[in-house]
Amino acid sequence: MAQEEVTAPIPGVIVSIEVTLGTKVAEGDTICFLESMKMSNPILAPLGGTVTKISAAPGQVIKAGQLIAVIEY
Amino acid sequence: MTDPREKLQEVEARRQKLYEGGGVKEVERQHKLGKLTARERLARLFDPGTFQEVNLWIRPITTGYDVDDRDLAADAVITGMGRVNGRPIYAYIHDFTVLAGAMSLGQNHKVTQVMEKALRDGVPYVGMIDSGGIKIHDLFGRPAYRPIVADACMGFTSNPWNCPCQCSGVVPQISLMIGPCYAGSAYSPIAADFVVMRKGTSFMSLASPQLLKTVTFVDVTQEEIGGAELHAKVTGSTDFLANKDEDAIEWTRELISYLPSNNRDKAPRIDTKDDPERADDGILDIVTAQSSAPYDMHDVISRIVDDGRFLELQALFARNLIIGFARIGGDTVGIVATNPAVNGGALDYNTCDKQSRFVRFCDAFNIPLVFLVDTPGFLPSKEAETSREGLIRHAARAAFAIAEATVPRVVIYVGKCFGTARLALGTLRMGVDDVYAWPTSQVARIDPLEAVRIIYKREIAEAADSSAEEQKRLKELLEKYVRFPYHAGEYLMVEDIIDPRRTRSVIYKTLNHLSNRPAIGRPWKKSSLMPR
Repeated sequence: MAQEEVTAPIPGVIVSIEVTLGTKVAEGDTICFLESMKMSNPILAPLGGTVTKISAAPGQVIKAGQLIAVIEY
Repeated sequence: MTDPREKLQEVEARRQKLYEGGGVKEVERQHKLGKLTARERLARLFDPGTFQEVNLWIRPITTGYDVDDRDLAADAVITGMGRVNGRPIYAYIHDFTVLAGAMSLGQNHKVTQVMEKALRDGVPYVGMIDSGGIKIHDLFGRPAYRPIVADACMGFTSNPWNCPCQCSGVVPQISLMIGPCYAGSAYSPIAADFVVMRKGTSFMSLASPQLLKTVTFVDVTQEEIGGAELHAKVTGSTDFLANKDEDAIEWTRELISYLPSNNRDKAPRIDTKDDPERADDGILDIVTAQSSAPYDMHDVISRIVDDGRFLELQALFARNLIIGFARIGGDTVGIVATNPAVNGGALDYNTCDKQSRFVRFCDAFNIPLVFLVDTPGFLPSKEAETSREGLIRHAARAAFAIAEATVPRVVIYVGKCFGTARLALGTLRMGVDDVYAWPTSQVARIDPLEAVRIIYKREIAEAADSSAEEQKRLKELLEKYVRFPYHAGEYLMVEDIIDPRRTRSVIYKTLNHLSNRPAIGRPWKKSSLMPR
């Protein structure tokens, strides 16, 4: 089983997390919403798999490159 | 007495042998790698029956090494001219089945000839790179052969490294890197205007993995430091990432249809049946009332252009900005558009590079530009400001390219645009010809919230509830002084607030109006310098 990290492309604040541990996602599914510069940006799953780790919570300030979730595939 | 028919048969037999390239086994190997042979690629690029090969019969230089005994058909490159969708094109295509496409003196000569002819004839050229590298034997012959090799070096115009620069801005240059391309081999094709790569078989890097390991003691694979996906997504060195050779070549044929043959020409008009004044009702639903919900600007583009057809460039790089070619009313236009779906459409140093190079290409080749703007501005970043990726330096390039251009330029404010972002995407005072805004647009010289924080700094600091005070002042500012979308019209930042459904018609009429205007004069200079 390989792992793919989902990281933030830009800094911002997590608005909401759209998945839970164990959620099966397809490529392009929304993992979370990240607010930056007054825009609510959907962060999408780069590939299909199972969410095995979530390391961000609503309200959390995120740096660019920071880990948000891990998908196992 | 030589029988002409016999002689002809002999020539044709030799020709067929040369057409086999490196032979059946090598052809099989090429196919196993998932690659087409040079002649198969050629057949796909050119309209059937139009290709005329030149210099098939070249004799590779004698080096004194064993390689002299091998049959190196056409010196590992096919060169010639033909037609693509009826238009003349020159091409050079490496033949990997012959000594892994080694770049020999003869090959350089043939390639240089193609580039020089393209320049002289005002015709675009296409290069298909598939080569293991320089043919080292040709660099220095064995002792008795050195005078021959040295002579050849000085006699041949072996300069595929000089030509792309001479051709730049005069004729379109397209490189298909559909094989290995290392070090010196890469300098020439990368200087082309457009680069196409293919997943799995394209490799381009300065150092090979072996060299990297020798110098830095780091282990890398060729995919890691030079693979097609790396270049498409990270380095921005490629315009299109193909899955197969066939796709790369098909895309190239389409690209050519949007371009003029040279810088004194306009791109061919392709009459679609799409009414240039067609209104589009659905466009109103794309930009939702809530300004923070991101939509995909591709949707807007497809509704404005002829038949919804858009040839995107660098689609996987700096995706927050979209560039590409389309037609409006049959004529090619260059589109530059921010994409709110990616990073909110915020600008950064990569988008600046992406757009400035494209703007300059369009200007060089008489292609009018259309800017679709909805951006929260530049993405502030400590890393970008404190590194060689300097934000201001890059933003200046974007503005510079727009100001330098003399082709018709039209800007449509679809959504937000404040402050420096306006400079990066073009204003009337910078020379843009016409600027329009949608009713949902918010255009100002500074973000109203920032303005409030500066003007009412003291009041906000002294207030019991700073946040509420800030919001109160903002509300006042927006009601009294900065009403969107009218603010931009009141201060002559835009010329009209248009019905989004008529965007296509507005652009068409504006460009039509400008289509035959005389060249804009600039003070004499040898060339503009590149901003940092």
